[in-house]
Amino acid sequence: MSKRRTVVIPPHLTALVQAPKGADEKEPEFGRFKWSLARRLVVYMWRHRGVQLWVLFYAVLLAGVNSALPVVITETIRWTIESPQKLKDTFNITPFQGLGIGAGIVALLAVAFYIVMGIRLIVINRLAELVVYDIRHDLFAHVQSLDMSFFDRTKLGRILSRGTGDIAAVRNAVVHVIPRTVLHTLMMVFLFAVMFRYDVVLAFILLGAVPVVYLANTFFDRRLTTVYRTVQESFSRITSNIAETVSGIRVTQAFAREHINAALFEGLCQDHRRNNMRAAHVHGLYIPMFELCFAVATVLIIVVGAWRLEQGHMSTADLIGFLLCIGGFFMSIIIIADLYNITLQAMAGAERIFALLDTRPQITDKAEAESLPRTGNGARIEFRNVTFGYTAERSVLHDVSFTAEPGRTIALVGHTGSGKTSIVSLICRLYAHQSGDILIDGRPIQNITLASLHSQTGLVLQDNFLFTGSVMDNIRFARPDATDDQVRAACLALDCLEVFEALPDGLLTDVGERGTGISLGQRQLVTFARAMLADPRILMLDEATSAVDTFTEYRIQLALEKLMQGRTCIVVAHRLSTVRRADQILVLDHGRIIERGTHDQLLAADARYATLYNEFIRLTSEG
Amino acid sequence: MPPPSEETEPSPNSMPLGILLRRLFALAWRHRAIAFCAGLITIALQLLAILGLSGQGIAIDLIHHRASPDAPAPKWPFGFAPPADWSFMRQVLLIGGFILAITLITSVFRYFGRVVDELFVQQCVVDLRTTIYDKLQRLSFRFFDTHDTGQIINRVTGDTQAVRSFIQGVMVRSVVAFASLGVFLVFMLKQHAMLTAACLSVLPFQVWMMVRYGRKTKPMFTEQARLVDVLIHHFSESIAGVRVIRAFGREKETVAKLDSKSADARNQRISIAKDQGRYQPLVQATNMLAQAALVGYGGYLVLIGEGAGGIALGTLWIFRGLLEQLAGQAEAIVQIIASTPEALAGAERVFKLVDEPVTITSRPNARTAVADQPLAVAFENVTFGYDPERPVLRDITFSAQPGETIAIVGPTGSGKSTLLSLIARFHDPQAGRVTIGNTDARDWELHALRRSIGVVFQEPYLYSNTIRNNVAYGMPEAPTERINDAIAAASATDVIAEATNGLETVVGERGISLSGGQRQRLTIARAMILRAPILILDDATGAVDAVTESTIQQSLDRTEAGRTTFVVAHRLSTLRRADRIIVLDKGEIADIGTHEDLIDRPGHYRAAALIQLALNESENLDASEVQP
Repeated sequence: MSKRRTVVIPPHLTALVQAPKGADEKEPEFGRFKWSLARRLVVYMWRHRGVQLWVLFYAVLLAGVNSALPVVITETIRWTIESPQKLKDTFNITPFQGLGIGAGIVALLAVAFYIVMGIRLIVINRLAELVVYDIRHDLFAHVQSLDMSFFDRTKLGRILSRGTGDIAAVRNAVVHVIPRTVLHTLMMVFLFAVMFRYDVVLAFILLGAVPVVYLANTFFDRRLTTVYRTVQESFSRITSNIAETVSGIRVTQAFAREHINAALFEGLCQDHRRNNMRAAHVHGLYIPMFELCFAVATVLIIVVGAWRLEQGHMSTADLIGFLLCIGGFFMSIIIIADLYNITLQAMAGAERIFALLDTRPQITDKAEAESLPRTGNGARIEFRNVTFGYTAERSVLHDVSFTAEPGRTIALVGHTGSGKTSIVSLICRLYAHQSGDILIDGRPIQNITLASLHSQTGLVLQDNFLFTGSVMDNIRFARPDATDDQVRAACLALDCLEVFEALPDGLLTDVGERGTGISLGQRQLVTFARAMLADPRILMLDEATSAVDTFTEYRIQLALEKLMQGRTCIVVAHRLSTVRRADQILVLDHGRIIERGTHDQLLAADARYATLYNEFIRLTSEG
Repeated sequence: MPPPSEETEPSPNSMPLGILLRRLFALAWRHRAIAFCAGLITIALQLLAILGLSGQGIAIDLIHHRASPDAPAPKWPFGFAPPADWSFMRQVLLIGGFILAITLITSVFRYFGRVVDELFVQQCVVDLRTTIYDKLQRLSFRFFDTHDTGQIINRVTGDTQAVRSFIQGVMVRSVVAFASLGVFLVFMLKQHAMLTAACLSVLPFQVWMMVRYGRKTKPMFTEQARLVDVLIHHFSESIAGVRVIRAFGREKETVAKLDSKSADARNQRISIAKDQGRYQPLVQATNMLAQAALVGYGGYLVLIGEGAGGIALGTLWIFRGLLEQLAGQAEAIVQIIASTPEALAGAERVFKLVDEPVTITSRPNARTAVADQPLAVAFENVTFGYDPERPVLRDITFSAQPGETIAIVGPTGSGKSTLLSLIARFHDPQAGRVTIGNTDARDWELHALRRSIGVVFQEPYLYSNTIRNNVAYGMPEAPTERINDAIAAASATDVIAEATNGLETVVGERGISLSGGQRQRLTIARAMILRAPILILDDATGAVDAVTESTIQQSLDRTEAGRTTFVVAHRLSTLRRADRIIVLDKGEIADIGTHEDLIDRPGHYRAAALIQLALNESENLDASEVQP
């Protein structure tokens, strides 16, 4: 143990121990029961109605087996122990033989139970997986069809939780709610019928206990769920604190802040301990609840049963029958009460999933849309008085007009937020513009089918996004049917094949979002090769700002030059060399084009571009 | 998010089981008073259960005797018998009251049992967690370089949970399981040994079966979790990369790929269900078989009567009840058996972390004052390697005068970051020494040394916290003014201006997303706020564009009053400002000099500089700089 410094933690840091400010607000775990949601879920299940039917069939069988057990035991006791004489008179067998038959039937029930229960488990899981697969498919496909604006306003975590937590809640409903409701309702009915048969009065007295048990359980179940959620939350705070501590350990040690962190962590641990203790108190009250209800029922059966027996309405065997039935009867009530909460959780999940599925994309193919013919080197792109904003109220592009002739390069220059990226996004039709016309080869962009447009566009992003998989997979992404040789040819054309082949596993080296073993510069080259393989007529390029080491930078520039040949290129430029090579430079400021021309023309004009350029030169070369 | 893969933990030189168990018990022993309480409550609960069941048994005998007078009269326990003049109903009511009373007492015990149990576990775990955390923070970079982040996190969360489950699941619960088994067994054997044997004969079979089931399905469930992780990973990627997918028109392929991953998870889950269906119902089914034995053999014993070695009907009922309770214990034992290896493995990893030696520590009588005067830094014949056999730095000697700016250049892997990491003593050299202000770095108190140095790492790590707390990380009490100064010095004022809540905006994983350049500037501000006499910039401006980099450099120049600065950079504009440039190559100093010196000499620096000049096509630069 190290000596602990006494630490005074500033109040704004302790506040973060309680709840990370600005963290995602929690989505409600319980929803309200809605028939419309239930109906849609049933539609999914209806597709697999064959399996569903088997699920129901086995639920009925299982309820039968479970209810038969107390009856068989009770009747065995009745015939052999209570009235052996009657057994002899009726069936002409000894009580010992009777016992053998009773035990034999119980053993048969055990076998039946094993078979029915086993098959039921298999069938239920099968149904759940089939349904979940269908929902997942719809979710995946729908997400891919949604507008970019959806992704702008929805956090990744939110979308993911549709595919994780929410689907799990729905799966729970499929696995548990419907089959168990059927099973346990049937069991309650069967067992009640048995008790009713043994003694009417006692049966009805016990029926009065049903709402008490049900409500008590529902109440505690809710509280337990809530209290355990606080435990989960404080634990996840601990986990994320540790995750941060480990990933940020260099910063911590560099700034010698270990003692403050330790004090904060201890605070989190104590908080978690308190939550755990609170949960233990609630749970401690909950556990004996069932036991108490059960004991009250047992005493009722004994006392009322004895009284009914005195009056000649009941026998000892009837009373034992009650005692045997009551356990299963109560258990069924409790399970059904639990199902209520599971149902509400599933409702919350289903509601969010369906809300996502109901989000309609704005950008879709019109009925009269035609495909864009592939002609010549590069497309002609024309913006006519285009106005666009991510929200209708705030435009980021105002009245933008320009023309990119086939095969030419246009460089977009301007400060962050001046609208450069928006122009690129509009050409890909990732967003719909509000007014004006965007023409590709003279056709309005909204009259071109999205598939044909996208088959002729290529995009290289600043963040060099790569998918999990090999370098080869990532390049081939642009054209899934390309052969290995075609991929190689694309790399060769960019003069970067040997760069990839020098990687640990060559073109088969694995990369990923934070791919290790491949440098920033190499990642950029992969995205170039990807665009090269797609062989688009329109290439859009958002140049990376980062500085890579000088030799790689050299390679990148050479590859870039080759990539841009023979296509219409729209470049969000950060490199001076790119800007200088462009056929036309558009200088953007707050969504307007304020200057246009070639590098030399703009320098000669001695306006904004010249100022930007000179500032750049001065800053980057001053000693 | 790296693609999830199967975690195969290498466990070289594993800890002997004896030592492991001893340490676990030692941990629990510290909280023995509460553990003892928990044990007592457990045994009391078992006795109460028997009492309650006995009440039912007597009631049944009483009623059976009343209904068929030739059946034996109830045997009252403890020599107690109700007065002879009590009516039948009065006796029944007495028993009913007794059962209720026992249940009430049981409830109270259950409640306290649960609370005490949790108290015990929590005390052990909080203890352990804070110990590990403390350790974790003091381990050297070496440890974090060689261990996977996810695994380290798991040590403190998952593996501590494993220790918890060992203490709670194995130590506590096995006491419960064996106490109840013992108490029940003694009671049952006393009633009827043969019937006990007949009923309990299924127990070993159940345990064996369930252990087998656990062994068989555990890897399958692990695989299922992995398949789902893979699916979610791809789903996440399909959202993160949606622009790329759109621009290349690859939506269909993406969905098809997701579907195939989804089908993998589905098919595997269905195949797990087949095993579940085969094994899971076994326990309940064999319990029913035990009931068959109870009915057949137990009924026979009731028939032959107590006089001939049989039992009363009430006793049969008690047996049935105990059997039901024991069925639950079988599952508990299975749980214990199944969880033990895993819990022990977790505990072993936890103890290994606790035992990990802290290599970088302060010496006694070390220099404790945080420096506010300019400091010189010198490397004297420093050799260092993460693996001592393979030095990354060899025989490095140079010195930086107070206030100098030293730039370090060299190809990837030449040891630039490693060299810088020795200054703040993130590692100790194997040979030679590093002196800070003419004192060996090892003779500084670690805290004082590091507070004298502002470090900006290559990877711009920000905490999921407000910008304020991130910038003031090393100085939580800093006034807003000082924070704003630091932000201005790092040219990051625009980051704050764009953020929705200014300084209070949450950044990092849970907050708004910043570009690499913005993050880097905030980390520079974080170092600037210390106003430390030494500043280390380890490729801290790689992700910012050239103009911003120059702006930052200029403001650093302005604010540096006698600050000794070390900087790794690629851009000539930055390198030119340095007082001296150290060219590293394969861990050795290839050259030292000013930009003007180095550009004249053939070598790595000149080559790199020439390419950069060519790329920038900077005709405005004086040609004489390029051509000597």
